[in-house]
Amino acid sequence: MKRTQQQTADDLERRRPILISLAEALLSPAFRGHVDASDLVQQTLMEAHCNIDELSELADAPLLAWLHSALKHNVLDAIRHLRTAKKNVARNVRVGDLQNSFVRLEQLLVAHDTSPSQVLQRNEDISRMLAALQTLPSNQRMAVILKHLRGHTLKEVSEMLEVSESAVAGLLHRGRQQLQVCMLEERGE
Amino acid sequence: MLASDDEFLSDDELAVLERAMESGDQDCVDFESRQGSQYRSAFQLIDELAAPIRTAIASLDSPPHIDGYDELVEIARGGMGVVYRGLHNKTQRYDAVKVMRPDRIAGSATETASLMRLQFLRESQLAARVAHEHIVPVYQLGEAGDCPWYSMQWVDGNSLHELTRDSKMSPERIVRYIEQIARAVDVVHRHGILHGDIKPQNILIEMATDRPMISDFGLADLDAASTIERNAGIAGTPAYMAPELAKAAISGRTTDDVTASRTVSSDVYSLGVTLWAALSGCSPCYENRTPQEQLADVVVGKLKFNEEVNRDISPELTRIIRRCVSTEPETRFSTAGELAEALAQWLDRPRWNRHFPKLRKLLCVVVAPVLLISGLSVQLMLATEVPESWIWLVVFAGYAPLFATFLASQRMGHGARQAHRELWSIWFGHLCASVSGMMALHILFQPDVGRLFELFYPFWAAISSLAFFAKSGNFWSGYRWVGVAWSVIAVCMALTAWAPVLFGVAAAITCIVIARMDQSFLDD
Repeated sequence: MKRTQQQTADDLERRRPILISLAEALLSPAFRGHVDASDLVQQTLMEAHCNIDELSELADAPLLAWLHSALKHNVLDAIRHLRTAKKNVARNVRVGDLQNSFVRLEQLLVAHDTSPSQVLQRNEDISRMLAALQTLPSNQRMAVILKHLRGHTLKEVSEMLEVSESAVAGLLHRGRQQLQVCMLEERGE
Repeated sequence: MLASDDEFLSDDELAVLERAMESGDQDCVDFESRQGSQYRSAFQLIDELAAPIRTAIASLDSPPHIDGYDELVEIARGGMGVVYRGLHNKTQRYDAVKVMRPDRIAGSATETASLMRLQFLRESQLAARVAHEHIVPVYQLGEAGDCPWYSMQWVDGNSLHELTRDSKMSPERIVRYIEQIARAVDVVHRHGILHGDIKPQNILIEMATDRPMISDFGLADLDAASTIERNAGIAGTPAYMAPELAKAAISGRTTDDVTASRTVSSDVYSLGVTLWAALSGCSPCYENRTPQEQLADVVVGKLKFNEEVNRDISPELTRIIRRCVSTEPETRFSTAGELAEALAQWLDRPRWNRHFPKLRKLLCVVVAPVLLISGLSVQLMLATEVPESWIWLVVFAGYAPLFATFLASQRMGHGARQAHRELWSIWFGHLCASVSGMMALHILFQPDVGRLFELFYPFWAAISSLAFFAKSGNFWSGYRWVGVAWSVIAVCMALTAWAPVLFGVAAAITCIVIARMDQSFLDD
């Protein structure tokens, strides 16, 4: 089924927050300040717009796969650039690791036509949550990403964000409630 | 509104709840209150949705804790498991530890997950039973948290896939590897265990000893289970799967059905594809195909080795591969041992060009003209008054280059030595029969030289025919047609007065045909 260019452009825009959340979750906190997730996504979407003719031909799953692979290249390029600039932060990251994580996320989020419906549903919920993350204030978003997507403990998050544990608990709680509301609204639409 | 309830819980209270959720110790906190239960449901909702991404990211950073092993370093990541290299703290030896991927389990329903765990354990127990010098031995099984693992010998080297992808390897070396692997596979087949996932990635070449070893015995089902359930991209490629298995997988039946369709001959198929992939250095499936499309391609045989002729692979090897990858399991080699035997024969084949460089050229440029000239000369000499002994000398001149080559090609391998001996016997017998025929005819037709040669040439051609039939057994099968041709030539010679010329021409043509078509001359 062929889409018009306008439909594809809208579709790409709809995916922007999902891609940003993914990129933020993937980039280790050590890179923060050196690599900006939303810049990388912006670059990826620009590339997508340049290829919009080609992308309009694609179904949902291959389109998402294309975006993930473009984002992956941009993230890898950014990290390689950090490396050649001899930034300390990049020294401990193996590029192969990042590549692996993208492959796995693709598997997770690309909804294949033949997948069982629950998997589809779950993937949609995950995408919805990732999109909703971008509506949160940045400190809440960082707390939720560190806690739930990167799996750090309350104590670790408070050290990383340099605020008290109670403050982090508050950020997390308000962030999660906001997410829940956003997701419910989105679903209701 | 949910947000308005915030006022009832202070940040400090929230921190207590947060820690309680983290530790899993939820009894000491009141989650029954309205705020408490709302708090918990929001936490659980987000946490569950985030879980697959979290495990995917977390498994990058830190290797799991495995009892008895230190210094785990990730080496490879497959569809089902991650392979680490670890130092066993008692033996102080480096082992490879394969751990089931936690993100595999994280994404599945509880039942599927426990089934997968059970299967992983069962299969690794099976793998642990197999002992062979070309099979990577399994040492120990265990569980790290939710994830089962097993440790095996650490093979210091690369996989056949890496070796053949990065650089070109001689076909002899690849065939030797596959031959040894096929023998190992044959041994375990006889114990009723199937490998199920033979591919170049699973064949490791130990660097120090140049010994091929096959790993992941019997673990295929697991990979298949996870890929088919998830319809996902990266786990085990179906490219090496036999068509009957692909058909079972595609028809959406359970993995048990796929397992049931697995036979010795499906392993033989995979060995054949592995051989092809290693020889050609590329994957058998076309690029940019999803796993589903690949499965469909395998079923209909839309694979590179069916559709393209690879000139780098010798025709004899192509024949062996074709026999392995036949869509009909009955027409494949019936056991892996049979395949190993065919490969061993190929390795031991006589390669005259190697033992005696430029032999092919010699046949065309020297032997063929010598035979032709000798035939023409005899015809001429018979018309003039030349002594009989001179004519005989010219008749037998053709043997000289033949035996000279035999003497020159002494250095050869075991199998080739056998062939060499056989050729000596055949052609020496040919010479003896010719000489004794000559003597008998000489005695019978003493003064009539013309009559003598009229009889000698058909006799000589008949002996040659016999020699070629003898050669067709162990050498190029085309020799039997050469034999038939020489029988016909023998009859023709009896009917014409131009027998010596006919012989010369036929012998020269035979030399050229052999030089062009006999494999053992072609392959350098």
